[in-house]
Amino acid sequence: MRYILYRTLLLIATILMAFTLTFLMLKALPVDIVKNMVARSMAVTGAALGDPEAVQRMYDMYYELFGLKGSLLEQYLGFLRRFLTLDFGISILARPTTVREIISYRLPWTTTLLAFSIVIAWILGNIMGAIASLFEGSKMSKTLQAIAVTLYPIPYYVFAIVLTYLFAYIIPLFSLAPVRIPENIFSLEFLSAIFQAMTLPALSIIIPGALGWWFLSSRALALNILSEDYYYYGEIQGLPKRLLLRKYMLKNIMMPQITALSLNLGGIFGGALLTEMLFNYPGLGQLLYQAVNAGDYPLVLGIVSLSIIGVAVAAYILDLIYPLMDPRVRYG
Amino acid sequence: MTLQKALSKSLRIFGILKRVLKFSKKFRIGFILFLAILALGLASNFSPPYYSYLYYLPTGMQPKFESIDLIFGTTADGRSVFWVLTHAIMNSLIIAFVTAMIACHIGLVFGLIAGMKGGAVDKTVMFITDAFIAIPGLPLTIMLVMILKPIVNLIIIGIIISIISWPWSSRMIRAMALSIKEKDFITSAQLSGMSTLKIIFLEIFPHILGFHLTNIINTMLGAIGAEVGLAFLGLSILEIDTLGTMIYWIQRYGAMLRNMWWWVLPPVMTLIFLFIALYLISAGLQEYLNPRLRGGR
Amino acid sequence: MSQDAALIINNIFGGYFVKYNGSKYVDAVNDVSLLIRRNEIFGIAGESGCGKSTLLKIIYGYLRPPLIVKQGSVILPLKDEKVSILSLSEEERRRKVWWKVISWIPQNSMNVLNPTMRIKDNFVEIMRAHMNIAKKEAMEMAIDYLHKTGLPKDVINAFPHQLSGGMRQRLVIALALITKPQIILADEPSTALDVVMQRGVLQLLANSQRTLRNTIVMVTHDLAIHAMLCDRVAIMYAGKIVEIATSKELFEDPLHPYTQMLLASLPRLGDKELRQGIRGSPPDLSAPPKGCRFHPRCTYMKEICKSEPPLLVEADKEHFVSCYLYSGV
Repeated sequence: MRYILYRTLLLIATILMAFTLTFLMLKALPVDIVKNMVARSMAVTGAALGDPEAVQRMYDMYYELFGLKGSLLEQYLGFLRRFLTLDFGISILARPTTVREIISYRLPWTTTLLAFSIVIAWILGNIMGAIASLFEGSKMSKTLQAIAVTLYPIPYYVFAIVLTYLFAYIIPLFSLAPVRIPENIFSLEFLSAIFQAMTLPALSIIIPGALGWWFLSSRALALNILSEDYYYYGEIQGLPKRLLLRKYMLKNIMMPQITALSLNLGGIFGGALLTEMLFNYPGLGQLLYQAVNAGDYPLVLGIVSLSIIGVAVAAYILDLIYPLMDPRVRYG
Repeated sequence: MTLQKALSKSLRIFGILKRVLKFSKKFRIGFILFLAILALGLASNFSPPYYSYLYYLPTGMQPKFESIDLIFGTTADGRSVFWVLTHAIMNSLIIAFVTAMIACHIGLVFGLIAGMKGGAVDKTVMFITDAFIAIPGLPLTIMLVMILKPIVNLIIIGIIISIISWPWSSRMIRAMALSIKEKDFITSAQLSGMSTLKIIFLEIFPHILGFHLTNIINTMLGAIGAEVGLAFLGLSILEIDTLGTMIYWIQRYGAMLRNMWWWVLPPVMTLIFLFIALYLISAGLQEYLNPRLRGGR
Repeated sequence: MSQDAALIINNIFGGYFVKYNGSKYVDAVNDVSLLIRRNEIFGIAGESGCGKSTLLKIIYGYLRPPLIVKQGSVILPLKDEKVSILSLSEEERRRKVWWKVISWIPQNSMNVLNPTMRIKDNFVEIMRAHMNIAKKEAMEMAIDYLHKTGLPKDVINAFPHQLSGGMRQRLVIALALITKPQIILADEPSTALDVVMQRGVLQLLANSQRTLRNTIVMVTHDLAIHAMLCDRVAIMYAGKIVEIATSKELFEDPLHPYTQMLLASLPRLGDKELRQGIRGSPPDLSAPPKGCRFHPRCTYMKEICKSEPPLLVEADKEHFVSCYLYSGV
């Protein structure tokens, strides 16, 4: 119970901290962000050039949107409300659609890709690491180890560049043109379009994740388990190898690896956003890129606050699942 | 007086370096690789004055070995890839170094306080640290850089990346401080009436030094990656050459589409080698510092 | 061989190939032959590092690098066939021998249970692996069995960390007995326990032996345990068996100088004199002394001891010793 409480407080603190930092930056900024934005907005729409009243209305709207009106406390609370509800008004880039609408349209793409590739990478990497530890010293294991050490420190998005260069330009297996998604979601074209869109971004998350990150950490944990008394006892009992791998090795690796996943979720997520962008994948990453380049502050704020809240909540859920699985750390 | 002693103990860092060089093959390879990249970066000091001019050289030229300007070819906007690369390396390393200096020392202070004081202080500091760790780094930095865009420079980028990097060092240092605190020589120092500050500086810090160094390397690794990430979105300092902005311009000019491999490969390969070098250095250090990993199966 | 043999060990040579600063061979078990009978508790005693645990691993056929067997055989006379353990493949050992005929109580047995597995799964898995029964049946048997052994029933759903050290220890013994094996190998089963718990564990083992009438091979450095529990005891020194006798005979009339010194080092009630330790230290098994391996520490050392290893001879009925004091050269 105390653990849940602590973790919940931590979740709130995390989100508040990220939010407060942003708020303070907005406040402390020597330049007038709203002026900037109004200029942008007018440039995009080409409207309201001669109408000072309309310009004033726009100023008012943005001042309110960014909580720059009223007392400091009002400003803080108002902005916090928008931060939590992603209510950042209308996007400059895609007027008159609201930020929330655009994001909710793109979100499923991102969550599908991420959930899919992170889970696959995690499972694959852990199993491979554990198996490699059983064949420690063999050529295969040494090769995998060398690959892992190379992949481990490289961020996804740098790896993604290599993949793009290889498979979209040098050996053109995939096209980087934005994918047209057919209306009928049960058709073959739909599946092939999804495949086209997803394969490279998924690979560039799965390969370094499975073969680098999770492989290395799982192998290190597995090597430790091999020297544990309980593993030795299991072997001496003559239990089947698969059982040893599953219940003695993987189950004990899984626990710390879930914590590791929760700790690194933020990093994985951030990297994956950039990967999406590189591959023209119709998710949040690409949207973020467009928003940043168009100076669409409301949209950027929306995407970023969603990411922060989303990742924090996901890590929170993982951390609550963890004690359910590890009998040693039941809620104290 | 104490400061002097503490400083002289800090100089042990060179002793550690020397011993790790002997001890770990990983470290040696990483170190040499890093020195090679650093040397390339330092070569930026010899760049000709026209290196920053656009369209000074012919555009999109393949590598030619007739002059050093053309040795890696030229970019689509007529600059020497070689000189741009040297500056990019230097600037990326500066960002990395600034970040490491800020983040690791914040981490060091918080980690030491938490580890040494224990109790409520420890709990509070760890709570803040954990809360920061749970913030996804890249989105937060994107937001901050976007807001600060008008005034951003190398140092500010470093500061912003520090905000998301320090908790990792803090955690590591705290764990080390906790384990060292239990050791006999600390107890005897406490019993002999040494002040906490003195104990931290004279007794604990020397033992943490190696781990501090590991943190610095890891933070540099993360910072270089983060800058590249920001640059992907066009959020780095586009007027300055960094490894990140180099890749940004490659994307912008469609260098891959035009198969200008001589422009694409240098920054990408440098990045990969730099990541591997720093990782090997850090892994070698950790093997040296952590006897459990030593030797090996 | 005699009808009542449970395990026949012939001229085992085994040890470790260690690769560290070049490779070297640690000669942990050198020319060991033993005949272990049915329905007896056979003790193997010796200082730590004398090769007794290694010998046990070889008997069981648990050979993991760097452990190798250079020579020798372990014969297991079953009802209809004689199984040579070392010439089987590990897969065959797992199927035919391990836990079916020989089970094992490991060292440090309080902490050998998989922390993420419930107690019942330990029983179920071991039964499924060696008894060819379905999961449900196995579960029923396990519950029934625990009940019979007098262990609380709710233990079955617990995880190891929820139980006391003594309880875990008893469960490990129960695991070793569940398939009713003919032979149980116990490797320092009670080391690292406090005296009270030690007594309980040993009692449990001895009681089970009395009812099951099986064979226990007990390896421990603790001579008091041998005196209390074992029918016969072998003394091992630096990879070699130096003396075998019934425990009564061994403790009353030790023949080998090493055994004599070992016993002299034990405390006795009412004796306030400082006990004598054994001078010198056990030899480095990667370069053991020539001849009798004990000669550098032996007070009765003769010239021949330096060059020729003595043979194990029957000095008295059922009393074997490997020393030139008795073989009369």
